[in-house]
Amino acid sequence: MTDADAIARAIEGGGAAQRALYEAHHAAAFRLAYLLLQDACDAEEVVQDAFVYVFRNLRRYDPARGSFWAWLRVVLVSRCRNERRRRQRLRLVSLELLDAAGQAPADPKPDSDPANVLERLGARRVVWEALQRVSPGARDALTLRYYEGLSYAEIAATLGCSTDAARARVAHGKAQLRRLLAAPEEEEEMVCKSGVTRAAKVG
Amino acid sequence: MSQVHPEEIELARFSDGEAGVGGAGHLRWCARCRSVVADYRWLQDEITATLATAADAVPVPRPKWWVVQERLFASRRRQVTGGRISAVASVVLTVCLMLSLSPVLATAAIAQTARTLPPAAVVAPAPVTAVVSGGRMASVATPTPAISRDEVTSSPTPAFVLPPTPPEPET
Repeated sequence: MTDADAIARAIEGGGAAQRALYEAHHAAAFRLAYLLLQDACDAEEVVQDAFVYVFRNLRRYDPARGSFWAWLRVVLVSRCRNERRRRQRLRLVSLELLDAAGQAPADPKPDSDPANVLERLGARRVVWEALQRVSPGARDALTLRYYEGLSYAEIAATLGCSTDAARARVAHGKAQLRRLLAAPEEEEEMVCKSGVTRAAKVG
Repeated sequence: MSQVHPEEIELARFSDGEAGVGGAGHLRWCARCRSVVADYRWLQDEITATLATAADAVPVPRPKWWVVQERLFASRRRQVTGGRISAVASVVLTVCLMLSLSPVLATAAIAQTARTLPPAAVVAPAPVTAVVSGGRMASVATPTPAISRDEVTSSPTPAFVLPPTPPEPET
């Protein structure tokens, strides 16, 4: 059964067709979500959430605008960004609570990578860890460019920005990564300082 | 031949095969910038390989269709319940609006009726008589006698007649 057949049947309320679509795209969706979130549990949650949204809004899918996977990817990337924002808020709240209780936070960023990922990465672990420190917008753009192999126009459509902005995000992501790999500690310090300055300005 | 080194972002873009980026000519003779571009090309390959390795290495959980199905049912239930609640709320709101607007509408209807009557007709207010019953005083409005439309329009010069003064109540 092709995606088009499955979608036609799923729109008519076919549970089997929905299941076929889910099983066909689940693995790819999970891998992409994992690369964007770097957390297997969150990735699974986000994938389920994206599929629920897609199945509820299947009538809105327009094959003329792209494949089913392209549409699912847009939904998935958007959900991942929401999840990251939620996580950020939760982290801020929990840190505030810890501060209020007079306790120092134990580990604000626990290592959430499965062991076999780190083992398989080997020497590339340095690049993987540096990627986790790149700003989220740039990391999304890099993942879509170098993992999904998308053009800048496709990245722009997925991230909801202009093509020039997509180009800039990829270029800035690479520049950030290069600096991180050249002097990881220095760059991290710079990122922290700029974060503190930004927070102070916002505050 | 440009003497100024392009910005790092420009070189990062150039390494991705973006034609038309400024400083392409500069790279022909500048070894330093060529090495930066080579760095970026290496980095691109590393990013591609790292992401592919991480994606392959992460254990993909088994698809849990029942979870998605359950969440779909739950969202449909919420949608149906929400629809019912909003329908009931709109009915209640309409009734409340009608009730609150009814005095206004009644006043408007009276005004409309008054406008449709000929301007010459002047109806005096009904006399008020005081009735004392069982030592307690109560005021009662005397019903206005009905004036037919013919009566009103037939009189050429309507005369304004003062209503009789009500008698003083006995104390």
